[in-house]
Amino acid sequence: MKSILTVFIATLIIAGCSQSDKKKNSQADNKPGDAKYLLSKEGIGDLKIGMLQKDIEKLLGQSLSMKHRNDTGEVWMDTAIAKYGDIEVELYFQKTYSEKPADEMELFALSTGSPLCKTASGVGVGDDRSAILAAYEDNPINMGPESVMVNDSTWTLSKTNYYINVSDDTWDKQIIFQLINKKVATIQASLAMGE
Amino acid sequence: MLKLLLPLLFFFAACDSKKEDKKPEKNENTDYLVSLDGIATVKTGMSQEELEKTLQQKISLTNPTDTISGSWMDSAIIRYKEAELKLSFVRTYAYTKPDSFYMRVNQIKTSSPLCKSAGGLGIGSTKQEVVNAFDNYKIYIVPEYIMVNDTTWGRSKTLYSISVREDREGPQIVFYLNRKDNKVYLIEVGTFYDDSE
Repeated sequence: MKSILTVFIATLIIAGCSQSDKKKNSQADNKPGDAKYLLSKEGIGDLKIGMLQKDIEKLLGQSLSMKHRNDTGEVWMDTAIAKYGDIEVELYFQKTYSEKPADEMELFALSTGSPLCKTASGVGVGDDRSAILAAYEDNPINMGPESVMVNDSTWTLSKTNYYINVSDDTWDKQIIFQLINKKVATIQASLAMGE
Repeated sequence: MLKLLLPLLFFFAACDSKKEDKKPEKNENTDYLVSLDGIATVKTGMSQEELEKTLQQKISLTNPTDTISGSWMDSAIIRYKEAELKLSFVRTYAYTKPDSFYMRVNQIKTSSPLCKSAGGLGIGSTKQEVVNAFDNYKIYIVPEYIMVNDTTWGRSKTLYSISVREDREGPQIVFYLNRKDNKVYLIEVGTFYDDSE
């Protein structure tokens, strides 16, 4: 009799645990992490969209190695990977439109795959689509499978890669969650651009 | 005691799995099928004449005089079997003869619970069910904008829509939902063109 009761109680506990795991995966109830790694549509921590390359280098205390630094032609957009605290971020730059100085590069997006980086609502790497939808219930969202190039003239929808763009009423910047196999793999803050 | 506990365990397990698998029932009835093309036999792109032939009924436009005199758009409310459909028409030039046009269906709306998608989505379906049913489509969730006064539009606190498309532009199904219960109260089939470019 005692053993039956033990089995029963154990089953209830296991069922309870599995329910709570499921909930954890589908709702962003995890707390936002360190403010340094807080991701918003404005950027990550102190790294903000609109910053100039020189200001970012000053903040990070490192010179950025731009991917197209050796290109001979005019480079209007460029990227760099940098270490920001304990996380790695990919920085996306575009040339500023002002005439003087003409070669200043301005940050228009940045992304990371670090689990340390979370949004204010606690969404981060590893979360699923329903966690994002629950966290941004009031925001305009567009989402769908990524388009992948099959060959020079044909595109198809990815079976594994999915994007979720979260905007707000100002439609100026957005947070982009990139999911692989239904889990967030990278998070990006970006100027809102046409599809 | 064991006899009592085992069925209880099975009961809990069954309840749990049912919660996870809850999906709308597939819609076997094609009489009121909602698709990207239209609702049942009423398709977007059909001319008024074609529609009248298909439905074997005369469609009375709401503003026929205005339609002829200059308005580009008109509407009609029709009875399709047991469902009520609200149709929007747009004036389209007939290239076959000079100075002629016909009215073409460009939007169909319904609140009838009889109208369902192939996956069983219809009036009363939840946000989660809509999102889950269109995994391989582009989905746009946006708040409704309502007229606050004659000159101002504001974001609705309660109403929003989920648009489902195969591509950025083109045919779409729009599910209108209320944030109070996150359930569909209106379905629209139409076409989206991005005129912001």
